[in-house]
Amino acid sequence: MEYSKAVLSRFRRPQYAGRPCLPADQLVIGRAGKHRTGSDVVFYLQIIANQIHDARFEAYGCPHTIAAADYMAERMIGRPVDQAMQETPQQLADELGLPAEKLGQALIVEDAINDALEAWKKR
Amino acid sequence: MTEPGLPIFLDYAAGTPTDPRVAEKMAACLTAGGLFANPASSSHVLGRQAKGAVENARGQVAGLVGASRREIIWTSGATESDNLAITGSARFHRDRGRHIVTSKIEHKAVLDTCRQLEKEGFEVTYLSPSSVGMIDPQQVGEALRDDTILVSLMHVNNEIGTITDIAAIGELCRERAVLFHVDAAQSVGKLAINLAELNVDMMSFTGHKIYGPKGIGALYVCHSPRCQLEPIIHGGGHEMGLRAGTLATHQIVGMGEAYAIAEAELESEHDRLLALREKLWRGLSALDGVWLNGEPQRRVAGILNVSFAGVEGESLLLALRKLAVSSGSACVSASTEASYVLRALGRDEQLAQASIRFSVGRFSTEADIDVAIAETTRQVSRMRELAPRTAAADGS
Repeated sequence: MEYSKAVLSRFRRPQYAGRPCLPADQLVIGRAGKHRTGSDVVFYLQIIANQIHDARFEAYGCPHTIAAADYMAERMIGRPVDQAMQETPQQLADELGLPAEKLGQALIVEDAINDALEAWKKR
Repeated sequence: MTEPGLPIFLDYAAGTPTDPRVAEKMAACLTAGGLFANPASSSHVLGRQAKGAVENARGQVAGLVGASRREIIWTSGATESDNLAITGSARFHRDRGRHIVTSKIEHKAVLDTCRQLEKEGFEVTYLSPSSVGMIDPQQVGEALRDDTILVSLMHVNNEIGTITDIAAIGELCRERAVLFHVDAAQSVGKLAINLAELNVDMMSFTGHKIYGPKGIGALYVCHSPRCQLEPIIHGGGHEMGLRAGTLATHQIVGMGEAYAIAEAELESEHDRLLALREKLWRGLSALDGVWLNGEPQRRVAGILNVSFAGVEGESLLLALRKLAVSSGSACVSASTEASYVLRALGRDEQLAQASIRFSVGRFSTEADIDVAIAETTRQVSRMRELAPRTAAADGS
């Protein structure tokens, strides 16, 4: 399979990977996908005064999943919570050069982020 | 042997570089002044010289496997040899029976040929391997029926390197007057084969797995007892009426030379490759969550197939781009399918996908293995650190 430069770069050197070293009460966590189906994404958001102060992820999945998660973590930082997920999965796929058959990976990343945002709303 | 900027080549089971000694012999068959003439042109000396080179190569191939020269039929490769052996014998013997026995972990050249024969009214039994990839002779015996005409099994599995007991299976088949075809693409030149002592009726060979050129292969067709086939390519009656088409002298000479070199170097090469493979396994097995695929002892020297728990297959393969290796998965359009061989062994989908076949060969060095161990360890660790901590353990 061929990969876009954006995917290769983020897969090789993801900048936002890893669980933040913060107490659990300062994080909201969202998760989507399943290990046994090949993609499992966890997002950690640190939200201060209704603004996303930090976003990190962990991912088990293909290079496109890792690249999409890294891209979205970067884009979300600094946004108000209610505007956290501005990109549609298709825009995310276009931005990263994901092939059509990998659109599902963008959806899983979106689901993980939405799961975290839901967790925030419930607090 | 690795050129700067190129990945380290550890994919010899997929195809080998042509040995320079082979390439030199081949080049002498291509241009004017060399053995360029059609070997079928018996009316002039140039044609007769080319035919002499073809027959010399036939003897070199026969010599490596303990066959006689007249039992070797040139083909375009092991895929064609498998097709000719299975389709040719099935069609010739269709009035005697329509049942064929093979296994679930054969090469696609065998499986797809069998599926085609199913469409033509044949019935095929696909044997399941053990969890370490072995086909037991007893399983074969139990699968034989009164209408069984053919058993087709590979000598060495191309993905996991396990060795089938073709001596015992051949004996069973001969007792029951069932033809026995063996795909030896992965074993010839790596294991000693003496067809004079084996009850094998047909055996498939290729050039490019043992440092010969691509596009050339051969089929051994036993003369005593005589194995009869229907040709599948028509047009000129070449190769004793079994395979029509102008003989590619340069390819044939290359394959012959490759087989002669393999015969001379088989023993020393085996020991060296075994040492490299064992070094690689020792290095990789220092990681946690690493599984060897295939029977630990009854494996060909050059192949090591390993599954890595907790990493995703496609990411693993991309992360290992400094190594030219084969993956346990094949990207098929929208999905990444796990290897059917590893799935047949009972590996789950994710573990089968996160599998790598390392295969060492003539030009592999200890330094290559050191880099392979270091790079694989680094990348597997990185992938695992990226993954959610509970990914492998939560059963999700």
